[in-house]
Amino acid sequence: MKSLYFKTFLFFILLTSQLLFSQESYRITYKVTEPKMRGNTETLGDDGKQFFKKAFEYAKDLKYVLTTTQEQSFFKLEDVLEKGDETPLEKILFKTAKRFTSFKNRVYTEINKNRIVFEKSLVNKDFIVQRECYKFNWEIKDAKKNILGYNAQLATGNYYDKITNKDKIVKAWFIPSIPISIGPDIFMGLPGLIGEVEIQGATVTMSEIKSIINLEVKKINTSEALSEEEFNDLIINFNNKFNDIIKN
Amino acid sequence: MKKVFILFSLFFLSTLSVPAGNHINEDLRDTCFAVAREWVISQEGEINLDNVGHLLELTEYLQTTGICD
Repeated sequence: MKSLYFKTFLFFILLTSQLLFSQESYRITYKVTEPKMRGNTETLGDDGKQFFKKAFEYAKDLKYVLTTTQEQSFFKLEDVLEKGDETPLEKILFKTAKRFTSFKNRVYTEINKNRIVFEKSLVNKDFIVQRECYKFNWEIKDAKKNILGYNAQLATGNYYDKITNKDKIVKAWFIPSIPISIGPDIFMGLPGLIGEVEIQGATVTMSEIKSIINLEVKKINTSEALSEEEFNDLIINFNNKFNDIIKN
Repeated sequence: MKKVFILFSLFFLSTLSVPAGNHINEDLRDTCFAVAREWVISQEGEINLDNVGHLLELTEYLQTTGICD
């Protein structure tokens, strides 16, 4: 009898310690629900119209995956479309589809340390940058909607994009019942997981969420990372040259 | 190494001989670069540092299709 009590006691101790020391983490999939053309499409010929009709289909097939704990997260495009045996048309359609979001290639965030590391392609070269998290000056609104059964609340924000030298507006629907201050790409800083983000070129919405115990979060090697200042200098140099070309 | 790359990239950018304003140069309307430029502007509203790499890739692709010069 004593042995049975002991075994039961041991079982509860093990169960409690598992619950205490395990870390709640999530694997969230986002899809492009609404790609948007930002320029005049009326001047496009038939070839162009056909091309973008297909690019829209490719965009809607893109899946972005965010793995996150309370402390850190990793975001990137799922590799399903890159098989290596695509035709030149498929390759350029895939690249065009990615331009709707213009997300970074990979993003790693240390949420509590306010530090973000990302890989960004500029002029067909990938750069790794390590900097403070972006600030979005979020304003939380009253509007609410349902995303995958979760109550989501609207927030609007803005940020300065150094690469395009423009202030950009962003709308985000965050989920207060999942209190992790993270979202797709660089978007974060709200009191809940971002379930949908509306940027200039697309609306990107959570299509699946799985709660997983002790999920491993990938990191980005920072041994060759540029600092924010170094990246800004690079952009200034590129943009100066770019503007010279435009003027001449 | 970083400087070498920057110089290479600036050279790469300098090969873009068409201004990225709103008006398409009539002489270049039928070149693959002009077509690609029009497509990128339709999609993204403008040519900028973020999409110039894609513009070049799209130009390369269009050159293989025969729909432009």
